[in-house]
Amino acid sequence: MTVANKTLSRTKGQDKPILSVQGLKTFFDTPAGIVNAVDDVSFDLASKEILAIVGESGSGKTVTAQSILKLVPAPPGRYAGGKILIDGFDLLSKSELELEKIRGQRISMIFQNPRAALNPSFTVSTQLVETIRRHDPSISRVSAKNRMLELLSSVDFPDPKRVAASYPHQMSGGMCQRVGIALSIACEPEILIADEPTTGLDVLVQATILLLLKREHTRRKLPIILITHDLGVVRALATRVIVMYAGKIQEEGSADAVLSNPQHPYTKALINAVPHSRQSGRRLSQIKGQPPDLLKLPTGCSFSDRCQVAVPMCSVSKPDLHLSPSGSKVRCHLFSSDITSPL
Amino acid sequence: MTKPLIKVRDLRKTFTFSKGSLFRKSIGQVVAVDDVNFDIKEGEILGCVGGSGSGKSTLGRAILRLIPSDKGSVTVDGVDLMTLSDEALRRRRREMQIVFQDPLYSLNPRRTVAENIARPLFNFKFPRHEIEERVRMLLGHVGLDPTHANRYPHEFSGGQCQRIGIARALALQPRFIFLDEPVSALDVSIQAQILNLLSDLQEELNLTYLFVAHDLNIVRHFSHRILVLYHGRIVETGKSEEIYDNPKHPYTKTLLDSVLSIEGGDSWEKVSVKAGALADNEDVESAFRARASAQTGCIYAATCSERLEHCGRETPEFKEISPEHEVACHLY
Repeated sequence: MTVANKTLSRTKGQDKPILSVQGLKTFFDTPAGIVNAVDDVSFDLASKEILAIVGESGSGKTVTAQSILKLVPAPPGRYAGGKILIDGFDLLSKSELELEKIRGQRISMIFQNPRAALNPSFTVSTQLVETIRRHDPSISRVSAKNRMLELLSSVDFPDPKRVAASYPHQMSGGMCQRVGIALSIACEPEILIADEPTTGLDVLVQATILLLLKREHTRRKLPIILITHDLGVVRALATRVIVMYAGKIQEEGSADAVLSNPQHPYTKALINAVPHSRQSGRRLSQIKGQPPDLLKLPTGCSFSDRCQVAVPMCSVSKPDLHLSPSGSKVRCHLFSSDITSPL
Repeated sequence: MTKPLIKVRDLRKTFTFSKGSLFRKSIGQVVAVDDVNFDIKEGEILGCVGGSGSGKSTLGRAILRLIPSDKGSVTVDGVDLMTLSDEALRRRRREMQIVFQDPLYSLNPRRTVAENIARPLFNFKFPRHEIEERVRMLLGHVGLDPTHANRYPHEFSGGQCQRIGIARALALQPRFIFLDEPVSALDVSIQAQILNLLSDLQEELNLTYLFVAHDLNIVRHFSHRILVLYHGRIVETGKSEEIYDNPKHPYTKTLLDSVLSIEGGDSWEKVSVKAGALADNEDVESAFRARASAQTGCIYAATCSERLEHCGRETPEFKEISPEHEVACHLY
């Protein structure tokens, strides 16, 4: 892997976003109707940040991540609009062959289920060496192997040789996830997408994985898009947060603003539903109703049927993103200036 | 809430690992539950925490005798479940139910919701009209629309399926329910609904719960008392506020440090350094080796950051720190 052409694109100004998603629409054509899994999502990823995309099931967070790598299975998936710009090029218009050069080398991904992301029939060594050589055919077998061992020790394996000879089933979930991280950084990517990297791991292992991600972020100046449903993980790592619900961005702002001073009623309810350390009494505040059914969304705001503070206008018209006093962008009628207008 | 409902004494469960398909031979044993002693009081929610592989689920299953244990006794109302005949155990099971982790897969997909909930009632030969009435009542009880009784599990969301699972567990009016990670597969907004439901039912019906979850914030919030398990042994037990505010055992401390909170805090970062030591023998094989070598002495000695010289030789006894707060550690 030649590092030279990599650094070129990375040194381009700090303020310029390294990745820009503009009006992304990813729809699924199902027998029951069209599912707007990602509906007009726009955001920029700056070169130094960890951007968390938070949401519950059906919020479109994973489909957003998959769309960035054009990994959404099509059909039934379909990119109905929008652009994903990296260095001014739209990823969605690239051919499969061109995409192969981008996946892994420029943008790589860590998957939710670490064991399933590895091939069960090959050793860790085979899989890592394959990845390294595939992206840099000129590298010799020996140096690929050395690079593999180097990568394994960089993800905190004290005995990389033993791990290299192991098959995925011989390792614990945490070890598989660390191998997954090694695979994802094998080609020195410019952007890392981590899709629920610690879901299903126990708290101690979760801490080790998060620290590893944080370290790689600082060491390699690697911007990370972190997909998660766990607000604790967001607080631990993220610098900026996007809260998604029913395929749309509901709130976007700095991690501190969104978590300490949430503005959108959904963000507030979500934060309140998690047990806090200061909480007294055993009853939690709950969000009424069910997660959104993307085929039967309310006509107005998608959260209006579960919202505690919904006004009549909410079930009629769809809100836009408004700037809130906390500095975050909020998709809610409460923040629009014409809230008092008769409807 | 003072009388013990369930007494667990010297409960031990080992799993044997074998190799070969025709001439199977045992290649090693792992002690999943290691001579565990505790009581669950009537009307109590006992939380059980520990890392993965600490034996939390195995413990609950062994108590219900869903899996055979090697030795020890589980006494309910003075009757030892381990010595009961199959038929006597079957009758006893009316009083003891389980709610599983995966809401959808724990229901029979080819039976309607009503049939799923009625299954335990059929097993105990309830008259038909009573079954119908009870199913309707149970559905209302867990917050489901009784008109949905004839739908199938796949038509419901995860949270609703978990409600069905809870209704089924309640069908025979049990006194004790083992909740095996009942909310870990659910969305955050639904978790709170299910926990509130379980908490209301507990108060209303004076149920006793053994509650296993990997989210320590939830266990703290939900349980009266907590057991901390490490590799099949209880290392600390006490009232939940006491354990969280004043943890004694080094493992409990590490576990609590690793909890991520929305309020922030970076205690998890110092954990990862410590947990790095844990991670060294994270894989199955070396974990067994570490466990086997820890047969003498404290089970946590190999990874403990506050290890004393004799920790590796002598098994620590339980010491009472304050009323109901006990810890097995040489430091105290």
